[in-house]
Amino acid sequence: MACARFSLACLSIWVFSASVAQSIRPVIVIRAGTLLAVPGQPPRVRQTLIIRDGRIADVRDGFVSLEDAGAGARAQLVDLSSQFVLPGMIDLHVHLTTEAEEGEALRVVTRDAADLALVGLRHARETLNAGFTTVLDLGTARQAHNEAVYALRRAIEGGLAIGPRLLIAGSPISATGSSRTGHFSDAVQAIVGPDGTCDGPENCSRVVRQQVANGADAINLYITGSIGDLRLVEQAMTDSEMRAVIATAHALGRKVIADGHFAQGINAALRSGADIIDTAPWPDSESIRLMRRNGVFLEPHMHAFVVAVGEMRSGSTTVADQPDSPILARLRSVLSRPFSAQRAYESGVRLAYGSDAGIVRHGDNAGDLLQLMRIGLSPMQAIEVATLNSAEAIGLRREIGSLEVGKRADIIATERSPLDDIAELNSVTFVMRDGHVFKMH
Amino acid sequence: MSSKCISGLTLLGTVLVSFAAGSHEPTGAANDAPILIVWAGTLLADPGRAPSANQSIVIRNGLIERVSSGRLSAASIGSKPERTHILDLSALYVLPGLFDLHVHLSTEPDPAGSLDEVTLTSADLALRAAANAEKTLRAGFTTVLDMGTGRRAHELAVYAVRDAIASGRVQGPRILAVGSPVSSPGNSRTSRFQPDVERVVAPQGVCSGPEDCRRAVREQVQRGADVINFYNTGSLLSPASPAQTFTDEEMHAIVETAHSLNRKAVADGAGTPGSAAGVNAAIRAGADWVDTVIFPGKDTWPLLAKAGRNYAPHLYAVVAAVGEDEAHLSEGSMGWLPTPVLEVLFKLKRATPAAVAAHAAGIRMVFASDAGVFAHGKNAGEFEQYVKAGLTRAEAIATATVNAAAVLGTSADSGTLEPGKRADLIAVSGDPLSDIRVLNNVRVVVRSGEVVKDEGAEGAHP
Repeated sequence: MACARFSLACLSIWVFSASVAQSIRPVIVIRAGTLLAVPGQPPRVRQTLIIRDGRIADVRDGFVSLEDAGAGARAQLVDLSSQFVLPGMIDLHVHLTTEAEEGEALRVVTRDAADLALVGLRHARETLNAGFTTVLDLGTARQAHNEAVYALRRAIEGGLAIGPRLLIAGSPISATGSSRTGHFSDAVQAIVGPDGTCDGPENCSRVVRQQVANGADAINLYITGSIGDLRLVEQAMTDSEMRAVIATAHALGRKVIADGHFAQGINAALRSGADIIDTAPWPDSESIRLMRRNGVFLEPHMHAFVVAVGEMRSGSTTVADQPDSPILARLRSVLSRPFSAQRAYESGVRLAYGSDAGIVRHGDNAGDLLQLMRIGLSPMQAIEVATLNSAEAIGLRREIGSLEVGKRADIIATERSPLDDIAELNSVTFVMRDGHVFKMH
Repeated sequence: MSSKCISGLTLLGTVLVSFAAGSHEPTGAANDAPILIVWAGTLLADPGRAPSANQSIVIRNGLIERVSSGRLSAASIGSKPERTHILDLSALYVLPGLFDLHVHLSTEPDPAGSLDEVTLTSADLALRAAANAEKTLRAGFTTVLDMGTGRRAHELAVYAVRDAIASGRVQGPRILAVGSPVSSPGNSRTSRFQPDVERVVAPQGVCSGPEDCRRAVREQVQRGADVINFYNTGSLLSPASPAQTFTDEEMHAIVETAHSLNRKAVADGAGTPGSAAGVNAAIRAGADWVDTVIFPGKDTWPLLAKAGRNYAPHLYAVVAAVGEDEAHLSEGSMGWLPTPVLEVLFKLKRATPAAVAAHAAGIRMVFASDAGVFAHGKNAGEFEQYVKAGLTRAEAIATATVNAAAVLGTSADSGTLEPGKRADLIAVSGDPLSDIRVLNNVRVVVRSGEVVKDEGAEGAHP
């Protein structure tokens, strides 16, 4: 019951600090059996992390006592001396307000923003418990979902809800007819219809500004039709519309994630300056050349494809309504050959991490790590993708992604080394975000 | 600073999850369902009767199957050991889960109060209400009645939380909700905004005339109301408001329509001196219980006793709002209110005389804290006020158990710990019949057979 005792200590310290000065938080000293402070560099045994005000204040060799750490009388010791400690993971592709269950199409018209906020509340907790301390919600193009996700972020930041650092893209920017939302009768569509659609460069700039005004941290751009759409829209926006979206987002300091399923649109987005290419089951050699040349990250979320096809086989409706649809055949053909992400990776394209949780079950965000092994990454490289690479891709490399002095104290631990078995990251034993302990086994 | 608190909450959350994994949902064949046996050091199975020492409560499928002396084991009840879990509360005092018939889960006692109504979305309010629901459950309240605010966003939030709790998505008490209180125009007790804004956030449940009031009640029930709350007098915070805010005919229509839809009707009023007329009219209209009633008339309690109806005072809210000391009114939970209002509130400590008189008149009292006016999770503060008003400790406990179940019409499945009833129980350290304040520190909470809080043994360490 170290866990219960710790929580009591936490609470009493909180009460104390609240009565003295809000800004002063007790120093936390973490003893790490093995510490992978900077993914990509070798781990070190017997390390001590010193956390002040939610950030890494120091990393020292050996197990340092509270006194030697200069931690003060109220300091807390977190003993992870038998654990493997690494930075919290980052998932740049989640949909917190949707769930991988049947009936999602109907829920679009039955759930209101309050219901969706509570759906997201549970998913946010599951995501953090799974070791993901930062996520990017890529939205659904529904206004009620936006309302729910923004409320959830306020609740997490205000201490009302438990969850990861929540970055939000708001509604994906899409051309009319390419929002990938379900179809309803005209009268219903007028109410729940897609948000974030635009046509023409001027209009698209305005819609981007609107998302940022709503609070978006990044812009999600739908550049092609969906793989699940038989119309085969290979480029959904004109080059000038994409350039307008990306230039406006960049002017407002927001990264652009371009989500596309076909090479034509992907290449247009790459030429327009997109920062991250999302999905991309079929990039061609031109896509790969452009990604390398522009230093663009590819976020492949391969696990979601595996899950989607598996569910279609079992007759579920996550991607298509008919189990024998041409869409399924198309997905099967994708899965029958090596993921193109492998070719991209082998050609030197950098990868970022995304799970597409919402298609994949929330809390199973780590599932893509195994897929990364399958396309040839080592466990260390996969961890690098889910930490430093993703931090850099979203523009937060100075804040998160490694446990270096000055960065956020987003820390997780596993029982055994994930460098030996990546599956260790499916059962994270310890989670700290911003210096607050959220999970401790 | 609040996030620090969250660290603690999270770990508790983890504990909750691990218990939920062993929850006692029906799993096909009833006889194969997991069994929870609770060993109670002392058991107050039926508040109003004497407690018994060393009892065992056998729980299956969320219901109490059996209550017996001694410590039953899997072997002694013929169940499979691997399907039987023992919850050892032999060092604790066990009693039924508590009811609070007056909470506002979506509101907080903070100075942003009015501004919240025009800044927060139903999603924000749902998350707030979910956090408050968890606090309330952990304080030992397994059933609450949310009395609404008159705002649509609050309605949506509370219904969403009620449904999320019922489906197991969120931890909280069983929530009954009134939706929005039914009120007459101008008497909805909501803040006023400029007319264009007022149109958008307009108070819900407003009606005028008996026919329109029938419609208003039906609309609340259609939206999901479990109970109908109507404002029969002016507001506590505006002393100039009317003594009776609905006509006798309107009140009859409201109560009759609620009853026709199998909903209880509660009349919330008489926070202002001289407004007993509204309370008396509500009693004559057949309200199932009257809430608040700080200023009863001479005839109010005899009328209520004769009608065989009930009274829900909320005494602690006033104490919490203004503190105990007239010289330091601003130190209470509503200390941000203007001084004249605080002075009015302080005088409202006269509520205790009203409760004393009601108790003396033999009126059945039900527990109602008004949490939301003060911090959620502190609901049990109400008990001590009841004891101050002259109730015995057993009577005070009865208000939040047997009495509450009776006025809600749910005595058949809740209110006491007897075979066939829902397994909602709590445990405290110490004897609440000797010191009612032990209820402020509930150690163990079981809701529908699921252990949602267990700080029985471990909670004892500092």
